[in-house]
Amino acid sequence: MLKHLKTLCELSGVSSFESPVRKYIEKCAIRCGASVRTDALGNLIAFKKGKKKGSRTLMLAAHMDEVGFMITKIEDGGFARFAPVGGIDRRVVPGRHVLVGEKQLHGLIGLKPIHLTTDEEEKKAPEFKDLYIDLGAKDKAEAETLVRPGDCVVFASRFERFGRGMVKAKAIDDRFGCAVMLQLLEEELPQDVTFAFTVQEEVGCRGAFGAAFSVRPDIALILEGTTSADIAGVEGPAKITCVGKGPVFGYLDGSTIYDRGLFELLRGEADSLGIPWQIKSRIAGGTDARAVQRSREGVRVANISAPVRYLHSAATVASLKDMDNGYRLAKRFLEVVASGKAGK
Amino acid sequence: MMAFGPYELLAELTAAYGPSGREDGVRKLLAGLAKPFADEIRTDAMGNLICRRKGNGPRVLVAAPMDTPALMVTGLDDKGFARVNAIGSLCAPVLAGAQVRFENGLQALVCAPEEADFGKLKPEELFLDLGVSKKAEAEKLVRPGDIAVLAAGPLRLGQTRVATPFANRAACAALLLAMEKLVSDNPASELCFVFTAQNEVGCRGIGPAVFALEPDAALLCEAAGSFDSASAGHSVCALGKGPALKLMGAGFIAHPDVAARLRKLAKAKKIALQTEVARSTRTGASVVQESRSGVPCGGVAIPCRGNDNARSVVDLADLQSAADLIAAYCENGAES
Repeated sequence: MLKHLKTLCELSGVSSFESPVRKYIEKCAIRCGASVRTDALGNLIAFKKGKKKGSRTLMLAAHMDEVGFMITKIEDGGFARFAPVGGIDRRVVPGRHVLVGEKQLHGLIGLKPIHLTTDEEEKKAPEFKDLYIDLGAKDKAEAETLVRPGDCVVFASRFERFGRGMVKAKAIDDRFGCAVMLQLLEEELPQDVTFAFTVQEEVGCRGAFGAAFSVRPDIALILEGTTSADIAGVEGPAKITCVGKGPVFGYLDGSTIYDRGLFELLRGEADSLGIPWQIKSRIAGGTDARAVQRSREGVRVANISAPVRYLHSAATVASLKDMDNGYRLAKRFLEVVASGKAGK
Repeated sequence: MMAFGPYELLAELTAAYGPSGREDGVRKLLAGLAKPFADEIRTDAMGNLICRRKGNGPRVLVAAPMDTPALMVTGLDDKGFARVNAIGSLCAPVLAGAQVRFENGLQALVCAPEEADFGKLKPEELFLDLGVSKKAEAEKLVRPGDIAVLAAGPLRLGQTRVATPFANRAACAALLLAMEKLVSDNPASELCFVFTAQNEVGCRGIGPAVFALEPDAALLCEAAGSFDSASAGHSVCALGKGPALKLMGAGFIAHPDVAARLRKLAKAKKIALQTEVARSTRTGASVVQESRSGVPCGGVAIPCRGNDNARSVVDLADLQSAADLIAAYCENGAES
């Protein structure tokens, strides 16, 4: 799983431009004997037969896309203006090394220097309209040969292991979920499973809706990365989740109330496997469950997330142990559903 | 026959536990009450309770929301207090001092911080006093994820009014009374009575139910904010003047055929009818009308005073008339 996670995190896949991630996943899924299709929105749907058909249609879902930027305009001097794609805190943007367009050209997000900054401006984080990407071009004409408005931009960030069992990378949200699904695809499955690698989650769960509509699952497990603010100076419920304290089970977030029976199933299995787990200490955020749950006649949804610090930035941090435990619980979840013990 | 009048029914429904997404308690009660009047009862993946009654003719969906807003425990502090977040729309200042209860019957008191600025108070600043002094003691009583609902029972005011913390339960009562009224008749429509889940968190429940049932027409029963109290500058509707025809809500304009039909039936049955035009009020009707290739949709609302208060007031005569109007609509089928 670690190998997949490293490769996936280093691939580029800003919402609507997920194809580098999709190509890698498609190749791996085909090698595992899954039948694979890409739908009109770009969701990759991989179906793999298990030991039996199973009495319930089961779908696992994780999103391929990540937050990033899109070029809006090339200006005199060869600098490119851009807009955020997905929720990015503008404070984490200035000075970042980025990769631009299909050719993954190097760029640097620049800001006017300190001697031109007013006292007022020093107190505030710069707005997106005041930032630009320096492409190293000599003028506008040269820049226009390199990039076009509409090109996507991602953070350039290597996957690194550090500290005690921690990793740093961009896009752990949600390449973690994709890596878990690829790992499961490599194994013998207890029942038939459809794996939906979705697009455009970061801009409002736009891909998952179509995926769930065509797959028609009875039960869906959403694998995600979720925010963790267990950092210096933050106390109590404001932490939301803590890295290293186990996978996070979806119970209630900003857009979904998860199926109670499936939540209790996850909780019970985690306890019996001796795996620590947590729920969010504040009702916030959301996952593809929002779209999946309300598809067609309704779908029973469950969620396992890895807690991630500095979510939606160039350097996000997660614990390998949490992610491995998330994988173990997803695997256990499949077994319980296959055994028919997950209810109707 | 149901052994209840509107008050007894509303009282029993008010006592049932059913926060958004965890409606098991109220659903069980409703299923029991609806059983004599339905050919088939089932619960779908969202938690909606669907009660079908066979009939020859177009399929009509009639729905009322059964869930309530609530407070979810997000953590316990060292002094044994429970931190909470709101599920659905709750007005924090009016919750301070309110009595709440958990699914297992455990009672608690909602507290605001001593230094709270009530004008700016948010639900997540509230906490629950569980009557213990240590975290370890609190942990024996509740766990993060447990949900508390308002515990206030119904309060009779005057001859015909009732204050209840859950005004939408009056809509559920109206649906049950309409179902009861239909039992001896031979409806010209196939009827699907749906008690919807997860309405308080943004009308999430009803969409999948409409998708599954594919109705030819739909009628929603909800509580309507009346805004007719002493200080109100303009009222939407008034208590005791009959049910309100839902004409407009956020993202919803009543289908003209459904609205015209309800007006005609009200006139024929001598039911006083008001109107509800509340452009900012969210209603499940906006979801219903956009299901599949579209569903003609209208609504009958029970006027309710003080929607954001800890208890709001409904008039039992309005409730009964709403039930009579819904029953008349069901009897006569969807055709005009």
